[in-house]
Amino acid sequence: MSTALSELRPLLERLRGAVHDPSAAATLDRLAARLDEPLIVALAGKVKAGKSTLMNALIGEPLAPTDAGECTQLVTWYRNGPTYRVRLDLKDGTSRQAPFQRPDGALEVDLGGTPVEAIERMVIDWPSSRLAQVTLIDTPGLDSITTTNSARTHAFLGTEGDGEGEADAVIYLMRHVHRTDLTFLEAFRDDTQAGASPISALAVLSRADEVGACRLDAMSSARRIATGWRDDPRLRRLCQTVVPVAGLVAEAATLLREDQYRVIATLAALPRADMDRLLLTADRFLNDRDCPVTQVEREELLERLGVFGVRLSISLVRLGAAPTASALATELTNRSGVNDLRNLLTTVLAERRSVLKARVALAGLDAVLSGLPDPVYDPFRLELERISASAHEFTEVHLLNAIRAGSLALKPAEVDELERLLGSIGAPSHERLGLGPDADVREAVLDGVERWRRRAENPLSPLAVSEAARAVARTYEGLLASSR
Amino acid sequence: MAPPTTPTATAGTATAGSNPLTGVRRDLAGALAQVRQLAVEFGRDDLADRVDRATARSADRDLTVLVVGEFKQGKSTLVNALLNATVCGVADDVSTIVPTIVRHGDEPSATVVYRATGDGDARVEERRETVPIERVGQLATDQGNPGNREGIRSVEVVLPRKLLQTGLVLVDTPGVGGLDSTHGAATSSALGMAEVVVFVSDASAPLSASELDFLRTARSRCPEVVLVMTKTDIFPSWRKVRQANLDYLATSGVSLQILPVSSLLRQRATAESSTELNEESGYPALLTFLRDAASGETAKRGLRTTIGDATFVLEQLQAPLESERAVLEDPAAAAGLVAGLEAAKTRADALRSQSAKWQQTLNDGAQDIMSDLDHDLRMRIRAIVNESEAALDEHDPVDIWDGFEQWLHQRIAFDLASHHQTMAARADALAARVAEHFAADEAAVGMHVELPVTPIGSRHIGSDLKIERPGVSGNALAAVRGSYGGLLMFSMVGTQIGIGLFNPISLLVGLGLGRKSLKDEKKRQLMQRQQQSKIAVRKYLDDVNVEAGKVSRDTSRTIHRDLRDEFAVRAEQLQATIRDSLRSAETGAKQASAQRQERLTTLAADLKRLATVQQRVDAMSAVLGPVTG
Repeated sequence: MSTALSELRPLLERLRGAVHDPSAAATLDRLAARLDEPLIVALAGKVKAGKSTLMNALIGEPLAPTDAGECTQLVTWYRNGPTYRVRLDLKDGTSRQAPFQRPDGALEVDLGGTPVEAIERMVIDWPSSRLAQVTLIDTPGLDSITTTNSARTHAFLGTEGDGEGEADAVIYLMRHVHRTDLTFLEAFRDDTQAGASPISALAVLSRADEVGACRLDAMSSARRIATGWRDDPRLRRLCQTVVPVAGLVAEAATLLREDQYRVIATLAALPRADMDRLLLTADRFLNDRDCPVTQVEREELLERLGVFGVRLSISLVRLGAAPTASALATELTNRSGVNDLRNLLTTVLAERRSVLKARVALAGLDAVLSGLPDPVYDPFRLELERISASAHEFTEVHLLNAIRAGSLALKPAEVDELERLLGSIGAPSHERLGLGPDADVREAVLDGVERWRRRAENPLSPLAVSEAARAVARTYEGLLASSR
Repeated sequence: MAPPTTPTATAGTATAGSNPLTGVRRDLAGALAQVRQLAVEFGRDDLADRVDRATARSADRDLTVLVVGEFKQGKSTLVNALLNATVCGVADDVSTIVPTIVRHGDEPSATVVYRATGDGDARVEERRETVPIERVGQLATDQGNPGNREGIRSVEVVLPRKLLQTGLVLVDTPGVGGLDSTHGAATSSALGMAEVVVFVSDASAPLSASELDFLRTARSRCPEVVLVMTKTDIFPSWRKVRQANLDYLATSGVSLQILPVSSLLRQRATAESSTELNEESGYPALLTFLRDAASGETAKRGLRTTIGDATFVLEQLQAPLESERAVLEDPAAAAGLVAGLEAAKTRADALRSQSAKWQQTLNDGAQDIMSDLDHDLRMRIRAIVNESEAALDEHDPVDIWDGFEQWLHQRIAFDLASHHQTMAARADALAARVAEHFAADEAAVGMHVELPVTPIGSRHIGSDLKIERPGVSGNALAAVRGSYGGLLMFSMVGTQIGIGLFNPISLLVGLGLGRKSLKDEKKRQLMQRQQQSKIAVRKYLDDVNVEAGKVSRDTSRTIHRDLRDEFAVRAEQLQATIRDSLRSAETGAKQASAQRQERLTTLAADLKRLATVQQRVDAMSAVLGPVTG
């Protein structure tokens, strides 16, 4: 089956051969290169939403600098590369390498006196299997008091003014849902082509450990809230799903050292009453005088794990659930929720790569062509319009949006079915059909094709529903083809 | 105000129990009782009534403390921890959606105020219902009352608490952000009714740009603002965050105290009765701040009014006694004195009559206020309608709706707040003018009476306020309170503007159509959407106009009536005093010389009693110090 991407790529090449304008040619070259690159996923969110921490947790190395102030001043790309390298792309169009160090594991880049304002972006090439499938981008916080930071992020994501944006998908970090978050997501969706698109946005309830005041049951509170958000129609229209992640705990888990484990074990061996007093507040933990562990060690532990991480680690060790450092690391990773996010990233988003890249190609071509008024390019325009109207991937995206917006007159059971079918594009067929792993996919698919064809041909169906039903039948046919 | 570089150490010198105003308040209650007894004894029931009213007014002169901040920062927990009680609903996944008002009272109780609904025949007026206190947490949060389906305007709780005894009223508000961020607009409009704003932001991160904006607004509109940084127990780097906030505040020229607190420690301290934990929680500094606020100018102004009332009554009681004594001491002067009093009586009668200058000033002024306010509101609404329609004509409502709706709510909140400020300023000016003319007329009467008219303080004018007792004898309309008009917007913005009719995905229909017809269809749908949304906006603004217009007219009427009553009563009391003085003078003149000495002794004793009470009242005035600001 032809995909939109497979039709767009030759169109792009033909157009590249036909244009003479150097800036359009450069744009097309960039676009073509981008189609072959790994999926580009940006992490965005308000100031202090925990972007850099989550970035580190996802990469598994403390590359992004974090501390309590606003420290991500630059748009930073983390790419898989053959060698360790940091490049600065300047606003004037030039690029240069920047020397860097890693004194305590964290990356320190020497900007060599270049003011932050003059830098367009920083590109970090880092050999890492975790970056093989996706390139990650860290962005400065939105709603930042230093407004230049916010402006940078908006400009970069294409949320203010025109432009297709440089990311294929975005993970939006939210501590609480604010209206400003919603307008931001609204703006991110790409109206030129796919309309509102839950297809390219995921949301993370970040700093999930703090939601429940760092109590041991904090993550279950966070999960409850994330589930509530997932059901909110306004969010559903904007993003695929919401997962809670305790980024700090996840980051600490990937970096947990044997000596840190020993400190935790020592603390876990304290009498109950002493420990409760010690863990009551962060200040007490740091300043207690009778503690068997030095203040420096406690400081490091608290900085790495946070109050929740410390409480959780001690409790896990006490309960015997983490007899070794690596067991503790595994437990912490599992409980942090980062695995769920990684899973979404490497399966769902990566499987959607072709749709996401096609959207980018479409938007990019549209932008280039609208800058070329010469009638010579009209055939290209027509071809682009044809692909955009006929590509089934885009219809599916439209349909999912319509369902999420509640604007199709469908029965609740049908909505559930389509939600599952279209909402989890990228997942295995049986999941999309709501079946167990061993069930007969083929039979369910045939049934689906049949039902939706009938629905489409029913003269009583409203026009919009008939159109939708035809598209659904086609989606089922697609599953049939892949199940053979 | 403390410079921002010294956050906690400058909380003030007053500590628990040493607040001078608490003493004045207590003394004043005693003095008023004495004055009342004297009034009854001298047969002046009208003055006894006046004392009763002053007593009632001083009992409910409140100082509103508005607890505001973003969503999930710990506002309700803070209110609970301040009160050492579980009043507000608190949980990880629960948010406050209805303002909760907590005030002092001997018997704990809770009342729910439901807002008026419907129109015409279907109209259900605002109603109040008593509920068990345990239910408050449910009704005020999205857990027990999702989307405020109960239609609650506010919940009022009465608790016996020492902290509240000074007249502090705590108001817990819904978060500024959240999925229903139109609450932000509501919070801004509620700022107008608060004397103290406690802004809550947790220690997880420095202030955001929108928080800073809000603080700046609050600072410009409220006399006392404090930034409380919560959850210091779980954020090890709270000191860094505080420093960053101090820097931001200093750079943006907002001078504020920052008080770091841990509600968890406060609760633990209460459970274990531990002073040490309480100190560590940071709450003592916050309590001190609130107590200082309670002894600030606003609170003093209220007390001065009541003292003015007591003084007025004492002078009225004193005057007839003085006349009688003068006649007894010098019978030859009796004729002159009586003639003077007769003349005063004529003038006092004139003061009472409709044709008195102050009456005309009042009647004309009240008329003007009502028509001007009506005009003001209409112009504001019209401007909003025009701007809305321009915006909706220019864009596809689907694209801009969320932002538009938010803008609309904010714009209305802003305009209503300005409208009420206008109202307050006008009422203030009128009260002052009437008082001035009254004082001029009164001076002509020849009985000197001090008339401590102080400004209304525009902040007190809320949108649905009921002026129970403007008490012009004291500070005109300072007693305008208890109606929590500023909270009106919370329930107004809760109403979504009725357009759920968009079909943004009708493009799908177009997939089967040709290019041209698709374009036409799109255009037609766009126009239809624009039409629908404009109608919805107009309807909503009509509702706003009706609601706000009614409040504004009622308020003008109440201002008029209360000013008239207040001054008319004053004039009546003045008349009674002159009548009494005349009678006393005549009685004194007829007195046989044998009894004369005896009567003089009694009079001297009576006057001495009055003077003793007067001294007591003057001493309170001295404690309050001279009027400042």
